[in-house]
Amino acid sequence: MRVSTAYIFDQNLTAMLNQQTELAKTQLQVSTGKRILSPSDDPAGSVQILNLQRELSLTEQYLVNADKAENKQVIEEGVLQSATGMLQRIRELAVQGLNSTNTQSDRQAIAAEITQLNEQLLALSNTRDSNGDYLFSGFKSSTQPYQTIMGDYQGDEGQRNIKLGTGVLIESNDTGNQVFESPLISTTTTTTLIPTIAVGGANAGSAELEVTNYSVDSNVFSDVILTFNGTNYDVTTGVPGVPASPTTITLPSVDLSTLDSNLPPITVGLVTGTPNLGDVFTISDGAGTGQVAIVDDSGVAETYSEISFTFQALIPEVPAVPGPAAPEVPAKYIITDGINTETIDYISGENIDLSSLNPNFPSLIVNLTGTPAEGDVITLEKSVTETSQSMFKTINNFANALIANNVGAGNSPNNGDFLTNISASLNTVVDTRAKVGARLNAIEQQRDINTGLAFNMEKTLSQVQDLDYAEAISRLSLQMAGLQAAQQSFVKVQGLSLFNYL
Amino acid sequence: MSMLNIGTSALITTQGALSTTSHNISNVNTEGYSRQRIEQGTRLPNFEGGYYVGAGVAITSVERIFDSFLSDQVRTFTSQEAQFDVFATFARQIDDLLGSPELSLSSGLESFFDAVQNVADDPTSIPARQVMLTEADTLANRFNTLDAQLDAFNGQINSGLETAVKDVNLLSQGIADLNQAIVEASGGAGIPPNDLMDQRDQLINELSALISVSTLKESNGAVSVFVGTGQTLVIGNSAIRLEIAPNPTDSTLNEIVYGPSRIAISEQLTGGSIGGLLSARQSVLAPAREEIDSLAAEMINAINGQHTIGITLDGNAGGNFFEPSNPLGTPAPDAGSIRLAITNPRDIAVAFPVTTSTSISNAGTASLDVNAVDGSAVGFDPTSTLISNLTFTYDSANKEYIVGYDGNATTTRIKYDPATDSGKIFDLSALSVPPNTDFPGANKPPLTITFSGVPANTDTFTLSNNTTGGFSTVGDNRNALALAELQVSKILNGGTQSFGDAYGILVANVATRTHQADVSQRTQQGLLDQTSLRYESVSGVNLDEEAANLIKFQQAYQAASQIITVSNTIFDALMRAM
Repeated sequence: MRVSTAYIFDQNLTAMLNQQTELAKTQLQVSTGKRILSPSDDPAGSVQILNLQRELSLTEQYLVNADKAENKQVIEEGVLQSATGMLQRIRELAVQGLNSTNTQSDRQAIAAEITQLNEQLLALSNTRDSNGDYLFSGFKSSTQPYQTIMGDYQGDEGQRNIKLGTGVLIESNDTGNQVFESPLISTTTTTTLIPTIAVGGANAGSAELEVTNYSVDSNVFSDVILTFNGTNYDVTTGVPGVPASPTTITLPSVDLSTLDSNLPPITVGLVTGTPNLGDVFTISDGAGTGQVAIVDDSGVAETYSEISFTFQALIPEVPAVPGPAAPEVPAKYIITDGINTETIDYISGENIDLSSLNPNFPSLIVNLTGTPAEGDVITLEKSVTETSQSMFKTINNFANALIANNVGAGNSPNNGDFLTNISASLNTVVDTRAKVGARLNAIEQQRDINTGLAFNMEKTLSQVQDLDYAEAISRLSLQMAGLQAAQQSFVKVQGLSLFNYL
Repeated sequence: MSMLNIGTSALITTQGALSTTSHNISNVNTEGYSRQRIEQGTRLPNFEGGYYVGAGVAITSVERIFDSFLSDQVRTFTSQEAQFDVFATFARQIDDLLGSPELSLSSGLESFFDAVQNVADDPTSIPARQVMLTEADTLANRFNTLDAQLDAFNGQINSGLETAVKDVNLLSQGIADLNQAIVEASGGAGIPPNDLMDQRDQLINELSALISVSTLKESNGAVSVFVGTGQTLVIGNSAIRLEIAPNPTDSTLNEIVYGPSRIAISEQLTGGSIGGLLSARQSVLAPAREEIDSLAAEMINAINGQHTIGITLDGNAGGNFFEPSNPLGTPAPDAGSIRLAITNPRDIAVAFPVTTSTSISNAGTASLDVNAVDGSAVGFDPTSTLISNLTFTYDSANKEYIVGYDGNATTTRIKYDPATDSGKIFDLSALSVPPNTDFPGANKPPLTITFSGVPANTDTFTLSNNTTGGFSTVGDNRNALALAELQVSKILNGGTQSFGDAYGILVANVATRTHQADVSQRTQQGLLDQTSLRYESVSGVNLDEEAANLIKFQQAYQAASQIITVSNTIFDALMRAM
């Protein structure tokens, strides 16, 4: 086939230009280190690069977030560590101050140190971070959480979350009411004298009544007589005008004082059986004046069920056959907690350590006085109320009680309660520290995950977008050789012409 | 005398051949030139007595060596190659634009959302907020710049079309003029005016690089030229003009109209650089502009939607983050107009509008979280999201929360069994699915909440407006977290794509089209090269061949001269004999 001279020239030129274009592209790849110079070089790869870069950027942001979250936790951990130390010292001082060998001035000195520590603790609760935000006031981060020792929490319950991964949020703060508010217990021990019920005459029915809810401190009352009238009980007393009008009650359970204000505040209940018409029950005040007072309640937070003291003025039976009179037997208290029973001789004014009588009894020292009547039952009951308040208040109240030397077992809150409450404060702080520690662990783990992810993504990204230098350099040399050959052959071929020989 | 005549005829014929060869040599680099060749034949012999004596040689014609089939193929491939070349050039520019790290929306979105997360980490930090504003501004600028660049491409396409149409008109007028010249030159004898025809073919070739044409040869030697679906561009010695007119629906687009009636024919035109410009506009530029605009509109909607439910650092309603906003019934904002609506970093709404408080006497371990606030209602104001406090009190016997709101204390109930429902999400504006009962009346709290944990009987939670009694929850970062979540939320295209996904798909589409155009252009280039080679092998001038011809005709000329010399010698001899 013949070829046209101009066309040979054009084709050779175009071929050289194309080679130059390819060479320039390879050279650009080598100088940028990138395989894909514009998305059309590899549409699928370039979208993969965009996605990988997005994920990588997100993961790197998660790592930044993790650093910030960790910083916040570390600052909080530092604050809580100091608070723990202070609370431990306060607890030591509390144990020391409660020791009964202390004089009031000793206690005042201890209270001064406790107050000092409490001020420092308050300052810790108002710690700010580098932005000037309060650490412990929730979302209200510009509001001081505790303005004074006796002040209430001013923040809110907001816990800020920081994002550490897709769907992974971690709390970055604890609120003051979680950290510095702790359960507060207050113990009051009540003693109750239960009136006796005498069965009038010989009741034909099988009914038995019970009297509950009567305080030993109540006024002595005169006998209350209940007579069964076939459907309910008529209430009368030996006192004229009480009750003011004819009154009947329907058992099983009635508080007499609700019927007539002059009737005693006792609750009468039907225990078992059925009364017959005309059955009579007389409720009479225990004649005795026996008292059980608590001297020491060092059992701290020990709780116990009701303990009853039943008085028994044992009088020996007169033997049928005359003989020497039996020796006089001292009166006794039978002490029971419902399971264990101990009997002691009654000596008025004596202190009894219950736990030394029976190890199952609570460590309670009681003082027995007065003249009880036969069958009197006095019960001891411990009631614990539990609320929540700031530990600064709790500590302050304790310091004030120490100053006033008002830390005995009979006080409410009592000496045991104080220790319990201060321990509870310490526990709250320690629990929060545990939470912070757990979060630090979680942050660390998530950081490991994110670092691993980022590493893998970078690897994949490099595989997709980075140039294989070995391949590119050899391609470059090949293209250079090709271009050189094209140039040389162009010159040579163009030199060939028949006109040279004319 | 015949010998002298024969010699003279040989000299004249050979001179013609030498001239034609010289003409070929001198036009070796002339575009569109077809090599010419003389056709020579014996002259009519003289009848001398009983026989014919040869009378020498004469030129019968000068012909150009031309194959109209190959010529048509070259035109077809020229048109296609030019179309893909122009298409690829524009597509590659858009491809480079979308893929460039400095302008890519992808990295702009990443930086912006990173900044949002930094604000979520430190909601009160003014520097972090300032960075978020700066990144948002940068993102808006990227949208603006992309839009401006795409507009510039549109301008280039418009002016490209104008130039091309001008060229088409010039060329078609040239063809019409040549038609006339050729018809006149041919006369009645049909002698081909080779060079004029070459010029006309060259003009048609140039025309085919601008637009795909078809031709029809008339019997008088003229050529009619048609474009599109048969619109006549040249007929005989008259040319019909194409003109540029703005698109009636979008005046930023230039369209091509035909003839005095100005019929729009853009859609019927294919091939050549005009076809390339039109198809680049239709299949790359327009979708890219549309996608960027839609991305801008969706982003404004999503971010404004979240931002307006939030509370700023000063306790005000969040308001719009980007402008222009897109309330119902207004035209969608586009990428060119998006800009930042706020300048004060304190005006970034990072806090949620409602706050939860747990009663101090709650004995259970339950909790209540607000997941989302729906601010889509007309006239929604985050500072009065709730018209009264919203209380939830647990009834453990019936395993339900009794909800108090807007004066009703008992009628609304939400079933919650801690054994099975912990972590369950409730939309308070649509509780009507039994056994839950909806809020009576029109005022329903626009909240989505989660109950979790085990509540004790009578445990109570209260939700109230964050701004009630003075805004102080400056450390609340829940709205910032919700804003940051928009980065990965699949909110576009029917909930299947995030912003980054949508942009990636746009880049992929443009890249794929560019890649295709590159490949097609190379294919067409190859086909054009092969066809041109064949065409050139027929019509092109080969200098070696011409050199050989030159020698051949030179020798023939020398030989013819010898005839004259011999004839002279013979004549001289005759004269001497006298």
